Amino acid sequence: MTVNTRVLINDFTYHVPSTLAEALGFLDQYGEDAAVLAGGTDLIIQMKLGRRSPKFLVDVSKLEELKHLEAGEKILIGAGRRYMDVLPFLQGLGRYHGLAEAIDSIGKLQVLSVATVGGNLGNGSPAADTPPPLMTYDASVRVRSAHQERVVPLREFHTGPGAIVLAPNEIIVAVEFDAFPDGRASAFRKLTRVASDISKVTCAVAVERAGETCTHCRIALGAVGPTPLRARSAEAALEGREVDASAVEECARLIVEEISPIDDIRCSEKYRREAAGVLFRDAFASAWERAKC
Amino acid sequence: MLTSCTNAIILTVNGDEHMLVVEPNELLINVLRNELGLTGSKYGCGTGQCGACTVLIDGEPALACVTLAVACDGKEIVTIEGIARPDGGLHPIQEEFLGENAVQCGFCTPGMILMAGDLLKRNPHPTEPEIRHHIKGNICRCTGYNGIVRAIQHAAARMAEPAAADGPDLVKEAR
Repeated sequence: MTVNTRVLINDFTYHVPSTLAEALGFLDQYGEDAAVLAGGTDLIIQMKLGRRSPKFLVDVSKLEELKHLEAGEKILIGAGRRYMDVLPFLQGLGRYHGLAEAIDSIGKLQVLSVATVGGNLGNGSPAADTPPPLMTYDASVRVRSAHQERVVPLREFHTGPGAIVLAPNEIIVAVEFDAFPDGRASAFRKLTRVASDISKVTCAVAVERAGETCTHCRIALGAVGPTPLRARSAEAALEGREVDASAVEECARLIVEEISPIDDIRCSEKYRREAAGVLFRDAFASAWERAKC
Repeated sequence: MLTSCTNAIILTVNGDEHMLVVEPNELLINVLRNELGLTGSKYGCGTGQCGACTVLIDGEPALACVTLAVACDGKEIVTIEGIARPDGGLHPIQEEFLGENAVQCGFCTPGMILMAGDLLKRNPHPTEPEIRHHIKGNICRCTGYNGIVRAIQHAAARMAEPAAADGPDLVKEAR
């Protein structure tokens, strides 16, 4: 079938609830027939391409309960917050460079002005920009249904390409992570075909250092496997070690082995493996330097 | 239970209020072009990549081809038709695009001009990299970026002059 992206062919009922309870009521009632609409920059396109055809759209853009932005012992980012709000919030905090760089890398203001962190997680794409840095922060996702609230570690959140652990009646309320201790720093690198495109490979790093010794290390990558993933063998190889060129090289080699990229329209599996090592070196160097201050 | 499922919406487009009845699956771009006859906003890729459908929604740039019209109820939209002066005279950005021949096929131009206006609203003295960063989401396939960047530079210089009080442009309104 030829896809016509000029129209949305499937019919649906549109709801714009004004409270979270009302939204959750709709999801409880409609189950798998419903989809949650945030910025729409993923969902509407998927609907145009015929990949999703919900009978009910529940627009959560008016829900104040999803708009927290809090910086205390935990950093809490409401799922309904637009990137455009989150970016200056992070830049103001001045220490969460990895996530800020991931959001900034999306670049296109027409997307930043409507798209949300919640949508980026909910879409479940292995190439999504925010999961890798959030994984390096050991972030968790706060999830609500009409019946319960639960907190899911982000590392358990993605279950496959486009698949996440959410039940049809659940909604992402917020993503949260512990505030960085002094001396921790992060960075993010991304490779795309053109300036504003879905990533070919992304890599996020968070480190803490004592002199030249790495005392904490998290490495996560996107678009190199069925889900965003942590490079655990590489993390283990660096943590507690003195960092020199050979340690970084060893780590890059472990990452290249640990990931499981595929060939697709954007690039080949071989290219992705090569690029992952390069991006890691860059991201690590940047985070390591920042951790010095 | 279905009270929020109404399809009657109010859109303020370029300052004019419109009461419209729309289907939930109607896209903002189609309502603008087909219902309101505002064909300046272009339908390009349809998948949020090219930026030809860029409009301002409540003062922020957004893509009308991936925006549901029903979700814009109560919002203010500015399209390229809302940029020119009330007397029909061109906005300085439009004049500079003409002056620099920054238009070839013209398909990307409405989006480019809206993004240029948005940039100059936020940052009246942008550097070249800042200009290029700001129009990152707008694709020109006639390889006209250099002319576009120069046009925006000239417009910035002109609009920064004290005498640039001509034109009720989007820049001043948004301030």
